[in-house]
This record gives sequence, structure tokens and C-alpha cells, in this order.
Amino acid sequence: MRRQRSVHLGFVLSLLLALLLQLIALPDWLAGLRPHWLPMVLSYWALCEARVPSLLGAFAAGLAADVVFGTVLGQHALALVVVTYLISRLRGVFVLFEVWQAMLVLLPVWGLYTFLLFWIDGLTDRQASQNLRWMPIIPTTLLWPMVYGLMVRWFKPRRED
Amino acid sequence: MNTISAAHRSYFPRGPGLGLRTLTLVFFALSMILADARSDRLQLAREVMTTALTPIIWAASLPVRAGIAADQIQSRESLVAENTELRQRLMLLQVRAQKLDALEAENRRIRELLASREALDEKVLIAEIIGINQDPYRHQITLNKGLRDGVYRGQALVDAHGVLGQIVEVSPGISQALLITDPDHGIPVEVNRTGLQTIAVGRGDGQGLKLPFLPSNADIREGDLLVSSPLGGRFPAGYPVGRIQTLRHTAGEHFLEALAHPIAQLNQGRQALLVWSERHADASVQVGAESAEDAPAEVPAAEAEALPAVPLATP
Repeated sequence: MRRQRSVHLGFVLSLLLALLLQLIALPDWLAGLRPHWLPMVLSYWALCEARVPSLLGAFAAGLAADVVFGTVLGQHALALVVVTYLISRLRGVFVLFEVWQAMLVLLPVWGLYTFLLFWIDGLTDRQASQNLRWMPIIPTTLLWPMVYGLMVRWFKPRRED
Repeated sequence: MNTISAAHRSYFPRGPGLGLRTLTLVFFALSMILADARSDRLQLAREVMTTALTPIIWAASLPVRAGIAADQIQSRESLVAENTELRQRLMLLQVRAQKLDALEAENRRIRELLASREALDEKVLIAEIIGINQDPYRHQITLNKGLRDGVYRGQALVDAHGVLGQIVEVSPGISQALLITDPDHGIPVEVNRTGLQTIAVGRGDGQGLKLPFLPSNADIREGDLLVSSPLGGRFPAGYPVGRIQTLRHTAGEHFLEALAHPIAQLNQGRQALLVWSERHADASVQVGAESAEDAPAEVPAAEAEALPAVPLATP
């Protein structure tokens, strides 16, 4: 039971950390290349832990992101829930893949995340520069193996039984 | 008989399936998007959540604060040099201020003649910029003043050079402001030379303003100064907003489009000035007076005062 609680604690803490990384100030030239930390962290939980309520977590973290970024309430929540659902659905397939293959498979998923944000922005009459929006997909893809590896190393040993 | 231990049972989750849960959450998210985009009903929830998330916003602003602190530790020589420079600047400004006093007095006399109630000295408050929205395509900043300091939604924000933007969201301790270069932002402006009233919209590239739909025979030139216009009652009049950079006249189009550079230093500086518009300052004083006295007898009097202004529809 205690182990389970520590997993849940790790889940919440990792989401808060991702939100913080998403928010923290970067120099101008780097800001356009900020990866999508929230979906990256959620992808680990959706892939490796059936025990945590990753969908609810995605929804809550999305709402928090909407609040701190001042976007329409529900925008990030919707995108994150859809992405988490897709990754949970694909869990069986991912078991067969090497990390670099998984990295490529996730590329369209990040694309979908960006598109959902873009689409809702359009739906609610907010405008945004088109090119800058798609940039973060590249660093997200490149950083994903690292984040995933770190999280596996951090959370998996406690799960041995 | 259930032979799976409690720890392992969670590997086989019960309850509604993945798809159903996703659909429910997506439905919730969509209805929130619609509610939030169409009305202000979720404003309270948003404020509560902002308050709850203040620690995270504060933590994210730590590097910026550290930078400010590092700047404050300066060497003695640089302070001396700065001091001399400031003295010189002060002298220059004093000379100008002497002239300004006279001009202001004259201006007030003339305004009184015109029976205009416009105030020259607005109530202001200095706020520190503690965060900049990291989405490169959205120009927002976070300030360290909030509801507690009397900040309100729609309040104008200026810096030493010109108009910066306006407040879009307020929570008790902090507030979010939209800069004039954000594509969602529009500000009523006046061409200083001619008095032409128009609207400047942000271009979203971080350094430009656009004046769309000018009549093609409008008297506007490159280098014209745009100042804020009191139309709409949101911005105080007369603050510099931008300078016309280029005029575009597409052949066959009925309208002229002008591009302008903002005068306020949008990406520099750490302080901004919150300006109370006159109407709002009055309103807050009234609200304060009402709540202080708490006299119900006041209300009918106010209504009686308001009534004659409304044309009565008598048969």
C-alpha cells in the first residue's frame, strides 16, 4: 500500500515539475524551442504505470496549465487528455519497440497535441504565429528518450516485486 | 473467489473503460472551453485556481528574481558613475520641468475654460514585472500587484516611454497583462499631428503594431506619433503608443494599412506603471464610500438621481 502511495506521490510531483519547467523563464532565443514537458511526462505514466489515474492527472494538469498560461479554460486539458488516451491505447504496441522507434512513433502524437492547441485557439478566435507554434515538436521528440529513460530509472526500481 | 492480492489488483483496473473515461473528460473540457470563450462564468473558478497555483508561478519566477537581486549588487565605481550621470539628467529634467509647470497651469486653465473634467495627474502604482509568458506567440507579462492593491481588469499599463498594454486577469497577489503587440490586443489611438482617431492592433511578432482599414485618403505620414485615445474609456489619454514606420497601399484596395513600432520598451525593463483611468478611480472611491457607510438610504437617492436621465416611456 505504501509503495502505491509513493507512486502516486511521484505522479503528482512529476506533473508539478513538468508544469514548472513549462513555465520557467528562458532566454528569448531558447523560448521558441521549449519542449512540451507536460505531455512528455504524461507519456511515461500512460506507458509504464497502469496504477496511476493518468487521464485524470492529464485533465488536472491541463487545467493548471490553462490557468497559468491564461489560455481558454480546458484547452490544454483537452489536448492532454486526448494525447494520454492515445498513448495508453498504444501501450501494447510500444512494448515491441526500441526506444528510437518509439520516439518516431510519438512524433505524430506531439503533432496532434500541437494541432489541438492550435485548433482550439482558432475556435475561440485567438490568433498566434503559425511557425513558432510547430517548433517545440522537434525538441520534444529529441528529449523524449532522455526524459523517459530518467523516469524509468527513477520510478521502476521501487516497483520491483 | 478473488485470489489476487490487493497490491496486484490495481494492475487490472476496474470501473468504466479507458474510452468512456476519455470521452467524459473530453466532454468536460469542451464544455469548459465553450463556457469560458463565450462568457465570464468561469472567471471565479479561474481566480481560485490561480491563487492555488501561485506557489508554482512564484517558483518559476525565481530565476528572474535572482537576476534582479544580482543586478542590485553593483560595484562602487559604477554607482558613482551612475550617480553623476543621474545628477546631470536631473538638472536637465528640472529645467524642462520648470517649463512644464507653467505649461501645465496654462493647460489646466484652458481645460477649465473648455469645461473638460479630464485630469492631468492620474493615480498610478509601480508594479514589478515578475514573469513573461513563455509562449513566443503570445505577449503577456505577470506583475506583482493584484486585487489587494486595487488592480482591476482592463487597467492600462505604461512604462517610462509609452503604453505597454492592459491587465487581463487579476488574482489577489499578482496580475496578468496583455501587451499591445499581442495579436488579440487592440488600442484606440489618435494621430498626434492631425487628431485622426483609429485603432492599433498587435501584429504578434513582438515588435509591431498595425493600423488596418484607414481610409486611403487619410492624412497620415511616416514618423507620425500615435498617442493613446480616451475613446472606450480604458486608456488614459495622451500617452505615446507608437510611431508610424511604413504605409502600405495595395493597388485596388479601398483601405490603407499602416505599420507602427511601439514606443514603450516592451522587452526591456522590469517595472511598469499601472494607471487608474479617471472613471474607474471615481467608481472605486464610490464603492469604498458605500461599503464604509453601509447606508441603505443612499441607494434610492442614487436611483432618483439616475432616473431623470432615462427617457420615460409614458403612454
